[in-house]
Amino acid sequence: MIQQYFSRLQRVMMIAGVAALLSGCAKNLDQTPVATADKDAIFGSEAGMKLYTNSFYDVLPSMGDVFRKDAMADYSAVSAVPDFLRTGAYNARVADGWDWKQLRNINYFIVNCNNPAIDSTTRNNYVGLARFFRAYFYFEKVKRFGNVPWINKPLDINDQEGLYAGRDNRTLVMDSVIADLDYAADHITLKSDASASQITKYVVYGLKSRVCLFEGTFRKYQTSYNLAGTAPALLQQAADAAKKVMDEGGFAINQTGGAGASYRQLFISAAPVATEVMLANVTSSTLAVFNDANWYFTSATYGNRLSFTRTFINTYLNIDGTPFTNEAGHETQTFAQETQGRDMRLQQTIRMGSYTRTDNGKTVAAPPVFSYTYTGYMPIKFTLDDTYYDGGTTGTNSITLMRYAEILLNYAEAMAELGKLSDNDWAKTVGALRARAGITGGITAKPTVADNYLKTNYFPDISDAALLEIRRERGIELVLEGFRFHDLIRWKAGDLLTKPWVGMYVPALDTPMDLNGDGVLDVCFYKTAPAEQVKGVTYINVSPVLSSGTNPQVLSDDTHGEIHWLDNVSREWDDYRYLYPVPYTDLQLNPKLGQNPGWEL
Amino acid sequence: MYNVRAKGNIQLTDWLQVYNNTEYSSREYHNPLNVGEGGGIWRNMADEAHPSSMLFNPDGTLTYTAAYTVGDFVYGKNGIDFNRALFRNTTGFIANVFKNKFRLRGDFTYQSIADKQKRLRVQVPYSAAPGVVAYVGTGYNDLMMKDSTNRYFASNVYGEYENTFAGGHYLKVLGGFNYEQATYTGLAVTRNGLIYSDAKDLNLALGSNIVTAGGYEKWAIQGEFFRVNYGYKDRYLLEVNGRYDGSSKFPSNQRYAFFPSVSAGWRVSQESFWHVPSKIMSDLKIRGSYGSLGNGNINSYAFQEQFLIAQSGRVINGIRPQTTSQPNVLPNGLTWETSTTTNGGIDMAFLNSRLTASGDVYLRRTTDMFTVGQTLPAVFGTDVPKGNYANLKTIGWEATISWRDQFKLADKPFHYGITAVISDYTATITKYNNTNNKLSDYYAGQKLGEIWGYENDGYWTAQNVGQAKAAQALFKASNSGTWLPGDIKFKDQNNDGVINNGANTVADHGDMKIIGNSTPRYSYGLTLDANWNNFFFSTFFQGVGKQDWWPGAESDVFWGQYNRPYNFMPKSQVGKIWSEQNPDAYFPRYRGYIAQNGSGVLNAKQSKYLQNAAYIRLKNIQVGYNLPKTFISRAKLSAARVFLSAENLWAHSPMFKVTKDLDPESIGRSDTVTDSGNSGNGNNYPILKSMTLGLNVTF
Repeated sequence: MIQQYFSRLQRVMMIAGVAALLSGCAKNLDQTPVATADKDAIFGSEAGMKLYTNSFYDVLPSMGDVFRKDAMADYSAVSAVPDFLRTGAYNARVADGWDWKQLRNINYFIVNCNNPAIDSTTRNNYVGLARFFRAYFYFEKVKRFGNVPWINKPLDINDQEGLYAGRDNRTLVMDSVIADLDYAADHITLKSDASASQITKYVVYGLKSRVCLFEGTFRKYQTSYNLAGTAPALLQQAADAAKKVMDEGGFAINQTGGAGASYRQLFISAAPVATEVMLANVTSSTLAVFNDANWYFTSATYGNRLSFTRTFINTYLNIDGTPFTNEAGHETQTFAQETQGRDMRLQQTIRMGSYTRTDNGKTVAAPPVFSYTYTGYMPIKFTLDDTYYDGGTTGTNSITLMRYAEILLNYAEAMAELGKLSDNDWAKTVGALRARAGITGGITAKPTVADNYLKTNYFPDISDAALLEIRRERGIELVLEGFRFHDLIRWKAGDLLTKPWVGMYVPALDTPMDLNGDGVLDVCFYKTAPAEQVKGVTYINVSPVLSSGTNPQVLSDDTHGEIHWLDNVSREWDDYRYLYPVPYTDLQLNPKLGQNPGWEL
Repeated sequence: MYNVRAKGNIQLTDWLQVYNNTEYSSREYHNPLNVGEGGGIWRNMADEAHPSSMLFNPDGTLTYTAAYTVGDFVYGKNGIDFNRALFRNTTGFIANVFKNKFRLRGDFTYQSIADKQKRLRVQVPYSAAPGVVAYVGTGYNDLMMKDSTNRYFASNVYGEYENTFAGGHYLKVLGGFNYEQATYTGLAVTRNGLIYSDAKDLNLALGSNIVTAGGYEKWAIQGEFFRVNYGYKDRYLLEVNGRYDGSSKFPSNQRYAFFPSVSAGWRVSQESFWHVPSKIMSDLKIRGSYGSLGNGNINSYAFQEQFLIAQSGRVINGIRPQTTSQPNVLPNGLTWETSTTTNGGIDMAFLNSRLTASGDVYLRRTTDMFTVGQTLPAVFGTDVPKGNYANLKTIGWEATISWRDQFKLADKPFHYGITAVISDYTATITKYNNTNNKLSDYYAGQKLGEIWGYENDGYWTAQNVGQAKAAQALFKASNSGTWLPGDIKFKDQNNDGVINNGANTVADHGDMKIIGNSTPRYSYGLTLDANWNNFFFSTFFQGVGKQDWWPGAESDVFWGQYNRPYNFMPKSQVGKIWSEQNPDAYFPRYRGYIAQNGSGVLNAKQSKYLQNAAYIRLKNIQVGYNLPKTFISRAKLSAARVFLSAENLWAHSPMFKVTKDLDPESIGRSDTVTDSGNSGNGNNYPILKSMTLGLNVTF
């Protein structure tokens, strides 16, 4: 009896229990994410929009990218010829850069940022930010590939038409880029940023001047596109945008360190010098964000041992504003001689003269070291003076992405290209930059005589004296800031990339030289190894043939002359290289893209 | 590592039994790290621990090369300490009612897995000049603590009715309910600025680079199930199963699915017409089944848009702000993956059951297979979602044969047995939405594991190397792009003068063809055992009859300096590298990076270097002796045995002809602790040989 009673009770309990479980559990099958945000949280509050737009900053070059870009530039002699300039070494199969993730991220934001709960000024500010980064993204794509598909929404997975579309003409894309920048300039509310790490209205105008100058000159000089007629309007927009920054931005050329140091302060300061630097990759010791510039520019194995060519160093003017290359006998001056009395940016760009470093607390002489440099002209623009920073990603200097000097040069160049550059414009731009570097002559009125050295060695087709000087100035002022390759592209001067990599002048073999004038001998060139070596001197073998084969480092006249580096590896330039190839696998996925001419496999 | 288990049951009344199983285990694991490159340690040792570099300077400090790679192992400071504590408790009851004809069963399991991680990254001192100490890894100097807990519970309640009726009818009916739920919570904190390199607690991290991360995931499944078994006189057996399952991982309109199955068996040898003497054939059973099962083992929330939050690597306005970005793209729909299997089998016994054999053949159709969608052009701009995109057909079989007998040896019985098991399967994609049948994705008709590649056609020679550049423009035989004698030459399958993969589709695959298959085929095991006069012996072999392996781009152990010029040069390559004196060598002209770089000529899959990774391994061999009863009883023991056991003593693979540095059982993923596992092939903790001398005593 008792048994049956209990079992009945038990069953009743069980049935009730199961029923409770069933109803309770079915609810548990509705689960929503907790550790992630949803659309309302992102687009329904300003904090959410800010959270999202923070991700756009990764469109900007990363910390180590900026100073590496000039590894392929006419003035950079490096350890190996870049594959891009070597026959057979670069093709569509090794090509890259056809990456569109950042664009979709931006487009998703633009399309969804429409929550009416947020006032339109706030929303438009963030959409403006998104459109700034979309313009930045597309500018990079057009520079690299020319025509690219213009996409202004996140493509749906089933959107066959959009996914497999062909490329749009660069004119359409660049018009859209400029429209994005105009929108951004009108709607971004931030007008200044003392941290130089955020996008302000004037950073937008700065980028617009850069973009329009690129496209305007590209269309003017790359005549095969038949777009030269559209160049003036673009150049005018470049000048106008730059003028906006000059008139309203509140920036100024940094002069706080005097002529001998102000320039380099911009590149070695921990916090961006925000009077001149408009946007930077900011380092922070406390937040463990560093750069590897010292490592890159001092290690014999880590980077590619970038040094400048003598052809470029020759363009630095004398301190009185006259061209160094007008001096008789300048060709045979030694390093110690030629580095005297020059534009004071030279001493802030390369190791020379009284430059010293700190090694474990001690001040040490720092002449160019031939265990690093191939030419003698060893960069210091981005490196800190303490050797502590040399061996790793420990650099504490912020890396500039945009600064006022560039805007001045953009303005000057656009105006000169338009034929409208006045003496006053000259004085405010190139003149001001030269004055900052201690140059005393030619800073108030634009030049009238076309420099023969620049014409002969760089731009034979340019006869406008001011334009030539602006190009000289741009090379010197913005060296290693990642502009040079695309400057050559837009000037249609790609063949400069095949110029020999020449170094300093060596008067004689077997004669140790003092490079920095401190009385200590630094380097000696030989063809037959000397029986006894002077302590502290680096000995460099320049005999044309080594036991291992051809010597890449020789003198132009065998026993004396300029150092030549890597003449034995040929570099080539053809017009098709003005664009990069579309990667092979991407072309296979969508043959409609079509390959850039000359890169077909 | 330790564990505790407890088991108990109690008969509360004569009809109600309650039981409880409890288990607790704790495991600790230390994974060293290096702060030079910060990558996986096996990979890093392979490509940066230069064998000819010195570890120490004459004054006892580390060299830079050492500090950059394995140097910290001397101090043992950098590393991740893992701790996993598992607790599991199952409580259940069995109630017998209706004169033991009806049983009600229920159980409740709770399991908690607590994972803790402590990662310490501190600088490693080295010296490049006497008396001058410098450091690598100064950018880190941080401590990361991560705690995560996975709480899981499962409950089953079901009733069983079982009865045998007159006339040999047997019936068992079961029906019940099942619910499972898991909740994951996580918390991780990283902070830099350790005040000294032995700091083991976050209180000693004073830096302002603080990274925090939360984490939460919850899923639940519930199901109702039934089973009916019917048997008649042990001759005919029938079983019908059904489950109706729902999962929180699927959207509400695709959440539930029903999975039925039916199986039947016929013991022919029990039939009255069966007159075969058991001396010849003692048992014969024929089996068959058909049914489907669901697989819902996917990530939670896969059908919902999620904005992940992470910390930016950039300093923006003085801080490294949190960021989020575009959410995952959702698949068009998401539901259970269903596999429907048709199985046929036979069990036989011969010669008074000394010889037994059984075999199974099956056909399994997997529908709505959960996999990544087809590759889209890069302008899509994000990862293609995973969804129920494919159907798969698997055909397989399995056979076991066993012989067990004894005979007298020196008046004592000698027992011995031998068992062989072999199985095989192949799987074919029957449906996949692949426009143009691209070879980069699944395509209908694709055999899983198939490897497309080029066929080798010897090396270019001085006579014909002039054509190489035009014919093989897609490839590079060195970084400079120069072609020389001794470089790889591919066969021009379609005679168009150029080597390429056409449109990389099934219809137009250029000069590629299927050169092999990575699926392990003919997996087998062989067990031998014997005992005689208290001595015993057993051994177990295991192997795979056929499988191909392509050494990937980062398989430095295989490629040596063809991967990176600063790698080790494997001994196995000596004498096998092309030269004018050795024009038929296995490896081509010696050049760095050509296996690693995407366009390198050894990066392309090709027939010559595809490895036959079939193998046989002696997994275990054991000999021992049971001490005689007469001897041990004096020591008040009930049993005692001594034994010698060895694991992984011997292996053989055709691959060993090329390299003995790789193990065919460990050639897949690498360094899974610290990264995605794709950074190399075969860079793993090796499979160890071990020998154990043991003594087992029972009191």
